[in-house]
Amino acid sequence: MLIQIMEALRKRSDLVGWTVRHVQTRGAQVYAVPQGIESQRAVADERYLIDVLRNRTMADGSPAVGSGEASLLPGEDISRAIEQATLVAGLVANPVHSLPGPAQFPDVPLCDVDLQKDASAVMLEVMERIRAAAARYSEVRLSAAECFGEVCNAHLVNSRGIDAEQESTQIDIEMVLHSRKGDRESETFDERRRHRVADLDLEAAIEDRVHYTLDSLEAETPPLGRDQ
Amino acid sequence: MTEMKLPSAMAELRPALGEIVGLGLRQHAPYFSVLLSSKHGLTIEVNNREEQVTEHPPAAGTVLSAFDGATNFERAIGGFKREEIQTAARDFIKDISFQSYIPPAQSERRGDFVTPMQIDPLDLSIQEKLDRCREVQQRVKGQDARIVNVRVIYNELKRKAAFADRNADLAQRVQRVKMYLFVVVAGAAGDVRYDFHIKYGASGWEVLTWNDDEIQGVVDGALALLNAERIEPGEYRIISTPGVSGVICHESFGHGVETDMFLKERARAAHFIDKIVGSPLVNIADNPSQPGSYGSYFFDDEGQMATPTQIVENGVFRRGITDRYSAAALHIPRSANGRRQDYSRKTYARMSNTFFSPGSSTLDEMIAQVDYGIFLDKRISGVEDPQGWGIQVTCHYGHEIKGGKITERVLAPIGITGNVPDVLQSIIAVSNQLQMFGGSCGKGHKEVVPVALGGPHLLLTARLA
Repeated sequence: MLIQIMEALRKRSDLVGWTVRHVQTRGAQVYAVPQGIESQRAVADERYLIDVLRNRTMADGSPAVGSGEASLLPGEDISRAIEQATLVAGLVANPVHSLPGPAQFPDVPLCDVDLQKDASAVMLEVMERIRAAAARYSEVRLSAAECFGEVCNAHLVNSRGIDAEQESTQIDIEMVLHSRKGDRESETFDERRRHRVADLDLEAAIEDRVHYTLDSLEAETPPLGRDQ
Repeated sequence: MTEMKLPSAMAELRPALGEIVGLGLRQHAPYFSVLLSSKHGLTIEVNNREEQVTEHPPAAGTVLSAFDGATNFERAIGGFKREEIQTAARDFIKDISFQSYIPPAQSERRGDFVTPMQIDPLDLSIQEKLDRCREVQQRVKGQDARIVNVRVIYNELKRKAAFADRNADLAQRVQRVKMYLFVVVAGAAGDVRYDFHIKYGASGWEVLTWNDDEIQGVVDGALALLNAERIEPGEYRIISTPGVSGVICHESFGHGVETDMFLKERARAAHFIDKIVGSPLVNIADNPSQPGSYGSYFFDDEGQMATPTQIVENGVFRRGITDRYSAAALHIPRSANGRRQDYSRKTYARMSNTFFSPGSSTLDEMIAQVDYGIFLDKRISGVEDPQGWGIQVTCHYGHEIKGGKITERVLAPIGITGNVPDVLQSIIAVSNQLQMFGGSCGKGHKEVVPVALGGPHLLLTARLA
C-alpha cells in the first residue's frame, strides 16, 4: 500500500512536496486494581500518515506554501485521502519552506530489547515491580496502576528522496497512591514515559511519590494576609 | 431512513463474528466477545484570519475479549482482516488458565441501529461543510463594529461498531455533530472579551442552523462582558442555568459514581449507597438512550443495551454506573456505561448523558424567590474530586438578581466551590425544563469519550469567588 500511495502522490502536479509515514505498532497493556490484575491487553495498529505541500500566495501576493495531512488505515481509499490533504493545504499560507532531504542522524538508543522480544512479559514484570515497591510502605496503598509498552516501526519516505526506517519502544506507566490519617486523606497521581524500562528507575520514583503522598497529609493551608 | 454505512471490511467480517465467538468459547473462555469498532472525526475552523480543516486520527480495529470474573484478557487488532482475527481468537487465550466463572444471564440482543438524521454529514463533501461554516461566520462578522473576530468551529464524530457474544449480534452507527460560535469584541480601552454558544447533537447537520436571535445573543453577551465586574467572594443564593447545573451534576454524581472508582477505593460515594446526599428535590440520572443527545448510543462497547440509570432518587444515592469488570467485581447490576476511547484502549465505567431531572417550578417563580443573588449564565469547566467530594465549577459570567429580578449588572468570571453534599442539600427549587449540552470527557488526563450533561435551572446556595 505504501508503494500505491507514493505512486498516487507522484502523479499529482499540484503538490510541491510530500511525505508518507507507514507506522506499525504492537504492544501490551496491563491494568491493576487493589484486588489484582484487572486487565491484560495485546494491541496492534497500522496506519499511513500523508503530508503534502502546495504552492500558495500570501495576502500581499508574496509566495507561500500550504501543508495538509491525512491518516489512512490499511484498505482505505488512497485518492480520497490525498484529495483531502490537498484541499487542506490549499487553505493554509505559511512562509516558503521545503522538506528535508537524506542526511546522517546520530545513533540514539531508542529500543528496549526485552520489550521488542516480549512486550507482554515485560509489562507484567514492570507491574509487579510497581506493586512490590508500593507494598513496602504500609502507610500508603496503591489504588490503581497502568503499564503500557509499545514497539513502533516507522518507515518514512518523502519526495526529496528520504527512505528510512526506524524502530523504537515506548513505556508509559501511571499509578495512584492513597493514604489516610484520621479523617484526612491524600491521593497522588504519577505518570512517566520512557523509551526503555531501565530508564524508569521505578523504585526511586515510587519512594518519591510515597513521601509526597504522606507529606500531603501534613500540609496546611498558608495563612491569609500580607507578609510584613 | 439513514443508512448504516459500515466500512466495507467491517461489513464483510460481521457475518463471521458468531463463528469467532465460538472459537473463543471452545478455548474454555467463560465469556468471550468480539467488538469491531471504527472512529473517524473532522474539525473545520473558520475565523477572521485563517481556515483550517483537520482530520482526527482515525482508529479502526477489532477487540477480542475473554473474561473469567477476575481478569479481562483482550487482543486488539488494527483493521478487520478475517483470517488474522480468526487465528487470534484461537491463539491468544490458549495458554491462559481461566478461573471458574458463570457470566450473568443475558437476554438475546439483536439489531442494527443508526442515529436518526435529516442531513447526513457523510453525504456532504468537506468543501460543502467548509462553505456552510464560512456562511455562518459571514453572517456574524458585520453585526457590530466592535467585533474583532468570529470563530466558527465545526466538529463531527463518526462511531461505527458491531458486537457479538453468545447472546448478541449488534451493529450501530452513531453520528455526532457540534458547532461552536465564538464572538470576540474589543472595547474602547482596548480590552478584549468573548462570548460563545455551542450547538450539538447525536444527529445530522439539521441541528446546526442558527437563527438571528441566537447570533444576536452571543454578540450581546460578548459586548456586555466589556462592562463586567468581579464578584465579591462569599456565599450567595444562586440560580444555575441548565449548562451550569449539568457541570455540577457531571463533577459530583457523575465521575464520583463511576464504579471502577469504587473498586479502586477512590470514590467516597461507595460508602453512601441508599443514604441521603442531597435535598429531596435532587434526582440525577445517566441515560445513553436519550434521543438526539450528544452522549447517546444504542449499546455500549461491551454489548449492553442502552437504558437509563437512576443515580440519585429524591436526594438518596441509589447506585453507580458500571462497566462489566466493576459490576462483576462489586456484585452489582450492569448499566450500559462500559465505554472505550477506541479499539486500542480498555473499557472503563463512563458517563453518557448525565443530568439533574426536571422538577416542577417555573424559572420565573424561582427568580422571584431571590431577594439578592446571582444568575449563573454560562459554564466553562469543572473539576471532579470523587474522593474528597469537593466541587469546582467555573462560569463564564453571571447576572446579578435583585428584588426577584435579573439586572443588567454582569459579573465575570465566577467560580463555584463547595462540598458536594452541602451544595446538593442547599437546592430548594428545580425548574421544569431540561436542556442538554454536549462535550468530551476524560478519565483523569486521557480516555476521551463524547458525553452530554445538563439539567433544569436549580435554585441553591453556594460559595462564589
